[in-house]
Amino acid sequence: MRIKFELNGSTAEVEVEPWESLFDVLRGKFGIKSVKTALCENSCSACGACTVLMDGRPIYSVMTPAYRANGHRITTLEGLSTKGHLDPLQEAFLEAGAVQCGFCTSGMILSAKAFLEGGGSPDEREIKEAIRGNLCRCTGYVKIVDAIRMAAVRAGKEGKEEVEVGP
Amino acid sequence: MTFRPSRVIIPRSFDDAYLHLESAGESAAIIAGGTMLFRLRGTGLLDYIDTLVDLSGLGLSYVKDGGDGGLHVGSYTLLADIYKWLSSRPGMARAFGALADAVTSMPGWQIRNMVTIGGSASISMPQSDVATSLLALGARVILSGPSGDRSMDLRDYMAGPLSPARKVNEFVRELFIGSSEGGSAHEKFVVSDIDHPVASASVTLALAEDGAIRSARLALGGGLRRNVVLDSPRELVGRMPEPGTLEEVYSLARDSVDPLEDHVATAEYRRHLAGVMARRSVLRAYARAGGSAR
Amino acid sequence: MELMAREFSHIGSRVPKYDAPEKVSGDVQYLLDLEMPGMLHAKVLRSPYPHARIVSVDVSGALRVPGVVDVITAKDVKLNNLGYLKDHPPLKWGKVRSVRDEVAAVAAVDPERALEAVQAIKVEYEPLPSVTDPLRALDPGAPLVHEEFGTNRANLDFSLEFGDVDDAISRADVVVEGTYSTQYVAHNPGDTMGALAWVDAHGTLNVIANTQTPFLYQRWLAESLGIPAYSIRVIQPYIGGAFGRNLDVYPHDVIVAALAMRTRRPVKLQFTRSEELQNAPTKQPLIARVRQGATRDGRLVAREVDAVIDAGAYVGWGVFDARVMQYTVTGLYRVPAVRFRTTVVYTNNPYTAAMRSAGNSQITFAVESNTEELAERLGMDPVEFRLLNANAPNTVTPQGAKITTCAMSDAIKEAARRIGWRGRHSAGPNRGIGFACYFHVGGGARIYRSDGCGATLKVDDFGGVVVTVGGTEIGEGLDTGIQLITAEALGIPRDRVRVVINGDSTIRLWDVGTHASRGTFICGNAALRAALDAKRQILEGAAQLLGTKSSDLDLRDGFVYSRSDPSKRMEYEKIVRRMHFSRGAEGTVVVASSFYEPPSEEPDDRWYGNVSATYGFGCQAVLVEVDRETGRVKVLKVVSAHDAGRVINPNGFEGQVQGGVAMGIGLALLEELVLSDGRVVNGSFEDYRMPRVTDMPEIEAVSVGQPDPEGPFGAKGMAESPVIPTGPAIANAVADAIGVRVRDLPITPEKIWRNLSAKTQ
Repeated sequence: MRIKFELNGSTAEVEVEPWESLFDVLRGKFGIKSVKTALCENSCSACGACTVLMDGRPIYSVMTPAYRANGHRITTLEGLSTKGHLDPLQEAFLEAGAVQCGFCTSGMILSAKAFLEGGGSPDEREIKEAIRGNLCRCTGYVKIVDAIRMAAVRAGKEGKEEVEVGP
Repeated sequence: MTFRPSRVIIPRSFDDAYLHLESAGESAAIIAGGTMLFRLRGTGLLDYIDTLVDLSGLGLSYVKDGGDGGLHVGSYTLLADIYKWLSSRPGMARAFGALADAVTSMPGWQIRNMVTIGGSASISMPQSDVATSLLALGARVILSGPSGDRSMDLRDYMAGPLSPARKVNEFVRELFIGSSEGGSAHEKFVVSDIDHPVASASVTLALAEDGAIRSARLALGGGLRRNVVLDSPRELVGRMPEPGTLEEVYSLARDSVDPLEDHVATAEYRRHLAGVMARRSVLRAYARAGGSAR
Repeated sequence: MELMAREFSHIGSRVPKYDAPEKVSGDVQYLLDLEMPGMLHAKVLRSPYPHARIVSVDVSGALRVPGVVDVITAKDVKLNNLGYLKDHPPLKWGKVRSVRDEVAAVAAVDPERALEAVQAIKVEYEPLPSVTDPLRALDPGAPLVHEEFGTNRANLDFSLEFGDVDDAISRADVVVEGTYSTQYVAHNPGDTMGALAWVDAHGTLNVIANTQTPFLYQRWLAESLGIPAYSIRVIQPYIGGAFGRNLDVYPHDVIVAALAMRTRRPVKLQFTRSEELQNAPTKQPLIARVRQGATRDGRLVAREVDAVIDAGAYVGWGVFDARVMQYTVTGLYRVPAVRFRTTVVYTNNPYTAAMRSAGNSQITFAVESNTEELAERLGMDPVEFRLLNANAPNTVTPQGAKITTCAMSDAIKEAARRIGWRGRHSAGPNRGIGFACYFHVGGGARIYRSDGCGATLKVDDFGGVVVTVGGTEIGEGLDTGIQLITAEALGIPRDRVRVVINGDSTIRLWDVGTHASRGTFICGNAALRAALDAKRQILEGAAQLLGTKSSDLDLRDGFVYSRSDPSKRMEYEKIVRRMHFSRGAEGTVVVASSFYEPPSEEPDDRWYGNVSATYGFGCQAVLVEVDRETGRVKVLKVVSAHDAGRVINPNGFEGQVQGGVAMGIGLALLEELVLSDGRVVNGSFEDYRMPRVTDMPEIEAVSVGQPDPEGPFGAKGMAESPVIPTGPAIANAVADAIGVRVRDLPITPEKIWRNLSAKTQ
């Protein structure tokens, strides 16, 4: 079936099969290599390496049917920088030392991007919640959280009132 | 990879949906979020699927306050959206707290942005926190078919792993949760965030004027052979959550479950955890219901 | 010691990781992403049995699958055995000795076809009785894994004794003995194992491999294939983590190369996650009986460790963890009499590889748990006990490790202060604090005849500096360290320095490999010396051009200037250009090289020797809270204090501490490859627990100590160290919290619950 969607700001049209995942199509048909995979067949450990944004919301592209992208807005890491200018989040990851082997970086930045766009504040708990669906084997997460906090502060975010379902 | 459906049908009307489901018969699978299908696509279990029927064009994504105190949730509503709806309505958030807890217990927004409430119910397994919480909330499944709608207790719908009780030409239109009185909570035990729950417990409580528990429904899940649902057990009804009561709740839960035994945990430990989770969920639900435990 | 050293321009400053730009932009490509035209995909047929005779292999079904280009078994291609004991055939014949054993391999046009072909191969096995309990492997009548050896005892012995242990134990006031064990663990970096090989028009075998030891890989691959090593070119891509798993050449490496040579097409194999969990070599498990004796006032007088090392079916690098264990047994704290006895056995379990600290996390769990029990028995404060026995600078351990710089006492004091230590059982209800120290190599480990690294450096006509090192970058930050060291040594802006690391190994000088935390120390020293040589050339060239003495000149911030008259200065690139173009037949370019071989030695036949140019020390303090009802342990805070000399790269130092602590928490509480009759039971990523952001405590990374005299700008290696003490510190904290001591990792909630339940009965 033919689908049409917005990919990193441009219109994309492609023929997809019912069994293809969004990951298959982004990598195989659009050559987008920033989206990584831990090659988990028949299981998913929520490692987040395959994270992309659909309408600004993070999803796992390996487990999403490709045809579902139809009519939606898909963002990968390439969509964050414009003409060589890095998104403030990307800058923050550089500055804060949040990158070691880099395998998780794409997914982490996208999850963080969705968080900040959704009004995310520099609150540590919220930031951790934002990357809960992303696994890192190298950094211990600390500098990743630092980078997101840095970006949130720079974006002028403050802690916001939210109704918590509690106690 | 042997998962090779030849087509995806996206019906634009309910009648259309019934027709396609009927004609595709046993070789059709309804695709909700798609996570379960895409996770299993290499296992061979899904080779039988020739047609994917995608009902996301039928307007089944909504959360409505029924005005009758109940909650109507379209089957294609994403867990993330249910959570957002609840968290902006404090009263609802308390009453349906178990569902909110189940959603926030899932590791990360990606999963919450992909899994639907209908999908969670249809997986029909005690590992699903959402399903366990819905059982405690007394959810009903509204199935839609050519001869009209029918309502079924979620317990009956969840007939067996990956085989819910629906007819070939039916689909889940909505989940309905009747009462928004009192409070509910979901507790689960995991060693690591991504684990399937080793044991979980969800409870809904409604309180009398004097703070005693008027009615209760306890659902146990996690690493069990099947969910266990206990309606208004005598261990809870008419009682306050004092140590004696909680001890009985612990024993009730521990003795009611049929747990798995595997490399993750022994059956004995799971039984113990079922008891602990039941106790904790009762305390939290009670507090949400406005009671103050002494 | 402050992390920021003000007298330096670059050393000690916070800079982005050298290769972070391509990683945050999405340009980075790992083996996963690499493809070549005409590339074939390889899949391996592996044994489903832990021990069986191969009766027959029929590949005809595979050859009939469309898209299959080649199928090989041991009969089709002569491959020599791999491994230190040469006991590991890349393709098996006769019998299989573990569940992952490679019996056949297929190269096809896509992975699906390759898998289909593998599934069409018919192998008839005759299952044999298996031996999977290492404690039973030497029983009379136990099935022999390698019949040709006549025994399951592997021909390796790491036993040693220095001092009179029996005498010291008999005279000790207190002796505490215990048995401790650590589990099978998967390295599980994001990037799974694999290789991509092809033969080019020159007949050179090119291999893109996720190896940490490209020069050894080249050598061992050549030996197995029976081709000259100079006809192999090893190329390292960006590597998405390795943690010690890639020090060796494995059967699948040889298989991919063989298929590439036979088909004359590029062939790629990459493990899926399940294949990784089920077939990759694992961390070395340990069973250790520890006995320590002390005087009444708390001085350690003797330490004896009996270790059982389960090599699995073949001796891999993991077995040599015992070599690292030796140095902790003989050198952690000052102990005059030490004995280590090892029994290395073959079983039908998975074979092993080194994993971050290569044996030190396992042995330190055993020793530091036992030390704590000893301190408890003496009624001594654990901090006081450790301070009393702490290693000291300028001493030699009984095994001959020459300790130069050592700030262990400072590390212990900092850890105690920052965690808020107020004595045993004072952390609050259900809370506990535990300590553990470590002693680790900080200047290489001499696991090979050469422990050196070579660097080459050129300065071009525009002032661009390119430094190549033989070392390997696997995410640890060696690239950044090299850039900082080079820029500092030359006296130029950092952005002028380009580092060539990974990529084509044939254009880089030899390095034994990234392991043993040796990169910054050894490759850093090589780069430093090359840079200093280049600087000397520039100053001599400048002296000649300016008519002064080079001793009057210096190079700083990109300017060559006169010390006696600093207003006389010139950009270094101008000097370099004039050296090249203004001297006619005397023109030169600036090029330097250095091969740094650390002043260490291989141990002698008693295992005595100084294997490292310097040593690292540290202490971790951990605060935990235990949920008594469920047994779940929550780690609230970790203070990780390290004597790593001068910190070159603060972001790197902290990143290794934070990542190491995360891994340490995984080893202590979460991770375990569960085996049943040699088969991995939890072989999918969902089933294997790894630390997630919600598992992380507050972490304080602390640097103590003095600059090391041998290290580049005083640095010592530390990248593995943070993972070493976490396990025992957590075990000790749990004991402090609830009086339960778990002696086998991982410390699971169920184990704690059972322990607590048993106590109340």
